[in-house]
Amino acid sequence: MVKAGLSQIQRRHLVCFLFTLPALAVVFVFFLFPMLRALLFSFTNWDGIARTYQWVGLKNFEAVVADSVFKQIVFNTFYLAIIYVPVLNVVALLLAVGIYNAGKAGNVYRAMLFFPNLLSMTVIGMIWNIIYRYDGLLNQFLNAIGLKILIQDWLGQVNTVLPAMSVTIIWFAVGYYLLIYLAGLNTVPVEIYESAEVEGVSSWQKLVRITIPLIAPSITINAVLSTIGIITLFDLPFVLTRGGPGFKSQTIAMHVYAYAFQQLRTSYALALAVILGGFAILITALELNLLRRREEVAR
Amino acid sequence: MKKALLVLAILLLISGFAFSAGQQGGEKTVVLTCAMMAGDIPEETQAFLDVFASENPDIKVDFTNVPQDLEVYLQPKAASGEMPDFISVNGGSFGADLMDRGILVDLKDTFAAKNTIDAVKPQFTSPSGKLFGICGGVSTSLIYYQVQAFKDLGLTIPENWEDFLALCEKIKKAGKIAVIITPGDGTMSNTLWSHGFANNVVPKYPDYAKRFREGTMVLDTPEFADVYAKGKLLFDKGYTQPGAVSTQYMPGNEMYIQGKSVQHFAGSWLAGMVLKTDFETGVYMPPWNAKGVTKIPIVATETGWGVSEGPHKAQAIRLLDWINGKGYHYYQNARGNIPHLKDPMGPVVLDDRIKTYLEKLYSYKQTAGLWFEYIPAETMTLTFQLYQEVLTDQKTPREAAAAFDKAARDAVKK
Repeated sequence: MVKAGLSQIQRRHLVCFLFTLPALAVVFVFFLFPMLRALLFSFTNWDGIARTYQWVGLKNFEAVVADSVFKQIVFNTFYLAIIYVPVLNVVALLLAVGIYNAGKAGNVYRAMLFFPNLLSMTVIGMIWNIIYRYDGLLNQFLNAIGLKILIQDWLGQVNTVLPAMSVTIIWFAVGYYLLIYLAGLNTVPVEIYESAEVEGVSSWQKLVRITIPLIAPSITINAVLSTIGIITLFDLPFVLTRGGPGFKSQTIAMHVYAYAFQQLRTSYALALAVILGGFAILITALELNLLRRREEVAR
Repeated sequence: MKKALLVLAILLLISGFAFSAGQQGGEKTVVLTCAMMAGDIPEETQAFLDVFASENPDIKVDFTNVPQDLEVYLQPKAASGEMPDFISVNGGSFGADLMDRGILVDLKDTFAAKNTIDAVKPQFTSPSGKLFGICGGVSTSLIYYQVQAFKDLGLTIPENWEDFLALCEKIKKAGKIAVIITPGDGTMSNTLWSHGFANNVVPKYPDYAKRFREGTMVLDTPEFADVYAKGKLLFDKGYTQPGAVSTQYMPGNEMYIQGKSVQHFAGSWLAGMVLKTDFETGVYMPPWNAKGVTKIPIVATETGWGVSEGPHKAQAIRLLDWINGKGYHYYQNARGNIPHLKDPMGPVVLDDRIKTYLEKLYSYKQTAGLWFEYIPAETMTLTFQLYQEVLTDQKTPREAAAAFDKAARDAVKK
């Protein structure tokens, strides 16, 4: 019946659709459905255990925003994003350019820099906890080189905790983003560099005038991925500082967890998760818009 | 063809019988899911559960070692209706809530309950009067100290807060760390916070647990602010270890074991580890009382066990009765903790110093529990987060007291 009524193109579309169905089902069951349920429950007073709940409108959102720590966790999250995204991308790009030109030794550097990605964030947190502890490796090193004046409780002070955490996250992530930049660099025709060299163009000019414009799509991908990664960061600060001192390194994602599992306020957790999702979508959209325009200009 | 069909039919018949027999056999053996917090004694726990299973051939125990954040583990299980048959549970509001929702079994008529001393039952009793758990032991927090260092410095056991400050000053002047505190995680709530609360707040509100439940506890007071101020004073005077704010539980314990500090403020559950140091260690009662005022020490419960409502509750109760009866020594000997049973029904391993300490502890007429037994579950992480804020001058002790007061009331309103 169906076969008779469909054109060949329509039949082909139907087959394609049928082939994508399993993947779509996975996306729907494991991503879309929970997201929609979370969105729905964020407007209820569901406590995470009971089978019943009532519609409470925007009350959860009002309570979350009015929470005394809301400003702090938003500040922490965006502070990390503002430091992390540009620094990470600049470091990863410069390292990628260096490794790209390093010949066979580049493979060794690449493996070394990617190594932290093989470890879980929990392990990374524990390692850096030992490094940052007052009697840890960093302070021992500072002592050994005569910089006793810099010895401090890196994770226990308001002014040092977020920068210290940023260093750890960048150390962890740089290898991954470096690989994306290396993939981008491989797409740049070698002839362009060769003719630039003939023209006597300096290394810096090659980087700014040739490399960066031609790997603009990689920059877009990395900027977006790193932004989403940092905005939803949970595991590393949880292991490294537990959000302290006080709430000075608590991220929004950590507070979602705190609401849900430490304070047993599931509806608040869902409301904050929706806010976090909103932030992530908005910032990613803005970033994509801006970077796509830059890509157009570069072309 | 006919032969082939006949053979096939016979095979099907045989396999059907075999399946049916297997099912009938399976019905006799119950798989008891058992989620226990046993991070410090995982092998020992598996071993004594194996002993239980061998004594009860109709039960197969499927043991899961639960991480430290017990409530975090249990809440989603409760929400999805997939609670293990036998669980670890803490005294306090979370377990009580599960009880009153009908998720846990009332244990008051079990042998385990009858063999448990009455003093540790209220913490495991829900507002509706149901016993939702049996504690795993009696606990307290105390100060461990280096005996030789005390002798060398001519120090005596302090009897009140003033004496304690003077003692810390002497140790500091001798160039040593006076006391280790661990504000980096929630474990400091067992020490500075709980003893501060016991000595500053409990005298005025002896019915504190009931008040917390009803939302009538008044904590925006100078007395409660002093709970935070005392810790701040120790930190500001330099009596605690450098980098104290970020020191977490295990690094703090290691520092004392390595002899880096003269004293360590920690739980009795660490006795097995701390009393085995290379140097001689003594214990004394934290003197968080003012001069001329009687101390209020801590007598509390350790994480215990509960039984979930479900088809296997009879078997789970059997395990509960066994752990709190003739199987108790397997558990206690592994942990070396303070028994909570009227009759331990076997050999008990307990250090003499802890025994002496307990005799003194039990002589006090008024005692208080540990923080997690009475504060609302919603405020648990606040205890140390506010402490950190006070230590790093983000809040004054009075502001911290006001913040905790508000959070505790909001929890009850919820």
